[in-house]
Amino acid sequence: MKEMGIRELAKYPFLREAHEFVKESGVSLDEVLSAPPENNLPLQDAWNRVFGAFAGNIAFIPGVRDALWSMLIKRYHGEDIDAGEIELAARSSVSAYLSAEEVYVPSSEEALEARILSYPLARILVSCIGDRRFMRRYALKEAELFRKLLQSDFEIMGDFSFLHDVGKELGLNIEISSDRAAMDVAGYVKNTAQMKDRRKHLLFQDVRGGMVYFTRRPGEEEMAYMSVIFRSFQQALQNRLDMELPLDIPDDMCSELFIPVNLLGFVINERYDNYSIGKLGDVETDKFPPCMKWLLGMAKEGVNLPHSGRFALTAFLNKVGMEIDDIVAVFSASPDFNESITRYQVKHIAGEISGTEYTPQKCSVMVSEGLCHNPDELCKKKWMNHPLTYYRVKKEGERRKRKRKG
Amino acid sequence: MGKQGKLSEEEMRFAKARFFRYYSRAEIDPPPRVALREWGFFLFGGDRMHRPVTFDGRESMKDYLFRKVPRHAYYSTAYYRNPGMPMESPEKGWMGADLIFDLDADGLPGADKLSYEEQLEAVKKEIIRLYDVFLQEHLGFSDDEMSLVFSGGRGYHIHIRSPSVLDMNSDERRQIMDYVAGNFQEFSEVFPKKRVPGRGTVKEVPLLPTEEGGWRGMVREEAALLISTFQMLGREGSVELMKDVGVRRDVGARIYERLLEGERYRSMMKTGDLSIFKSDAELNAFFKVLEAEIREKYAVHPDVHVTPDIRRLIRLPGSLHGGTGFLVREISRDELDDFTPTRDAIPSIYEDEALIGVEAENPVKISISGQEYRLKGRQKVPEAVAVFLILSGRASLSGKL
Repeated sequence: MKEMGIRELAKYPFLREAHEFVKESGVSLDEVLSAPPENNLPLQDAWNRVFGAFAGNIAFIPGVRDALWSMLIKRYHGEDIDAGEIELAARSSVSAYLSAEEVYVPSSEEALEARILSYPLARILVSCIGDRRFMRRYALKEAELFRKLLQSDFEIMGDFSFLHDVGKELGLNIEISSDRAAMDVAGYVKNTAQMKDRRKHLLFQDVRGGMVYFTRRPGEEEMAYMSVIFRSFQQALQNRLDMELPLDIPDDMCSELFIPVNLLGFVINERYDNYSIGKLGDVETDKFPPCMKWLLGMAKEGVNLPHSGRFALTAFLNKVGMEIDDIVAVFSASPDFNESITRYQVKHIAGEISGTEYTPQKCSVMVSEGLCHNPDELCKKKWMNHPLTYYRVKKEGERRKRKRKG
Repeated sequence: MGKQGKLSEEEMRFAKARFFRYYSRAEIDPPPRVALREWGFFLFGGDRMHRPVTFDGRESMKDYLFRKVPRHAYYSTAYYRNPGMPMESPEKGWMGADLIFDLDADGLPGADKLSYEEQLEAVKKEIIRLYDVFLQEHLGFSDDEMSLVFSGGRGYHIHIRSPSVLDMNSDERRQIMDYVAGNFQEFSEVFPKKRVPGRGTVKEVPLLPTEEGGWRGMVREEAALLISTFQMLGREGSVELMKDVGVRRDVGARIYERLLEGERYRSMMKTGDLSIFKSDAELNAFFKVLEAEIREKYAVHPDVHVTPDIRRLIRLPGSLHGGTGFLVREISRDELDDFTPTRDAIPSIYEDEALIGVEAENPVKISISGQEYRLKGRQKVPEAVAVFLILSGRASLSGKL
């Protein structure tokens, strides 16, 4: 691999070389942790990464320290802040991050070095915060940032060997030239299977000899043939972070970072708890069939469900009478949760948009789609053919039992 | 799984004795990483699958087969950290799974009208296509990476154990299955679309693909082939050919003209522009002809539930199929061309001179080991034939053993 400049390492701090750089720079983590936040550049950038991921966009806004950051400063100076203040500050900070379009890359050596250091520091913060749903979101946002930077670098410099090198480090098997790109089938499938766009499916690709080819077409946008390659870079980093996090951080290091960890953790918990599923009224989840309990569990964990699973769960929850808001909340832990899109989808399935209210798949389809999980005795009854039947039977059984007793 | 024909006590004992003879001598290679797999068995006379069973190696597997003499033997395509745990236990620990394709006569269109042997032939054609064209040529798997197995019933399995596929999830496997099966929502989906602004709206116009490989490449190749066939057949012959797949004569004639007059097909092949067809009727008919050619030539029909299933059980190569008595036999690609299951998958345990009395209610015609048998009513047949007829429910045991 060609040697990279400090500017490249600042943009791609997950590379092995960046790791080496940190080791050789002689900057100790203790120094960084103990420096006061006002002029602690690495901490500020790490904050940018973590809170940016929470807000939805890691942007490194130059000069702007958000309202929540000012809370942090106050806390450092021993001021007391109440929960309401924090909530307010967090809300106003989110929009600043979301509206930043450009990723700011500094020019001074010191700032670049700080940017590199901020990457391990952010991972430490995320690990200390310890919320697994948020870790997945952080991985996604860090990966999106990576793609943005890589794409714009490539558009400016057109350096193919750089892409090869970075790809290799991420375990991607790719070939790229000025009019054609290619990627191995297994890698392609692993990086595109979650995409909703059918046209990205392997079925429609130029597949030969174990590689998927993307050819630049006359009249097409210059970089269009590269888009899947960039998307795969993103996915590859996301998968890697998903696997690596949480890091095993010693307690005393987390306590050094107590104030940022505490503040960010508070804000993060606040969001996920608001969406927690405690207030479902008459809907009795313990009477759900095993498949729905399983899907619900995964959704609450933030696991990305396959499309058929999301559909089944949404349609089921709607049919048993859960409110749209509560169904949306079920999916809020997903790392790429987008409230308005989710709400639209839920409303669609609930029939509020098209007028057609959907019913979840029957048992046989659940089985063939791999969604029938851990069926119990009731599931195995000959006449049991639908998850809703299961729920009704369970509810009915309860009612009768109560009647008999009463 | 494990369709159990209803056997009488006597038939059961008869078949089990032959299976015992087999398992007491057979040298069966367990699948790789045997200790990480879960196993399942149907025994003679039981209607529940025994699972999960686990083995720590070849010897314990052999011992089980010898002691229990199962009617059907399966192992998990998946690897588990603790394969003996129940499926719902979080400690079971899924670690990965082989990639499996299962081609069976059940999946073939029109298979119900074929005899058993014709079905086997038809499936063989498809498995060859799946192996040679899709898995090898397109997806790049080598002979070493693929293990080809006759299922003992009406089809074949392909097991792929390359590191790059083991960790694929169900969606990823489904993508590969959809690819080999050509699972289009409708065929026209294969044509890329160009957005063309019209009066106040944007229209999506299909293009002939320009890709070299994949389904789009096949469509392109087929279009070129079709045109040269048209050139060879001339107008009348081409119209006739199109009529065979349901295109009206007048439409067929127009398609012929559009393509060949002034060699307009040249620009179409070059740019993908399909506007030489002047109406949707013409365009759809052209698609229809292409689709017929392509489906006939390429489509294969693997079981759609098997490939995406990452917790599947699959028959153990080297075991006997309890619905036929045939060997579940691993074969090389070279052997496949001449492979005839009713000759090459008969376990060598039968005593040729022993004749068994059977009774067939309906007429049966079957070749076993190259010898043809036609049965109706009571008759004496060699052991291998009797085992097949009885296990598959085509005849019952009659008279003494």
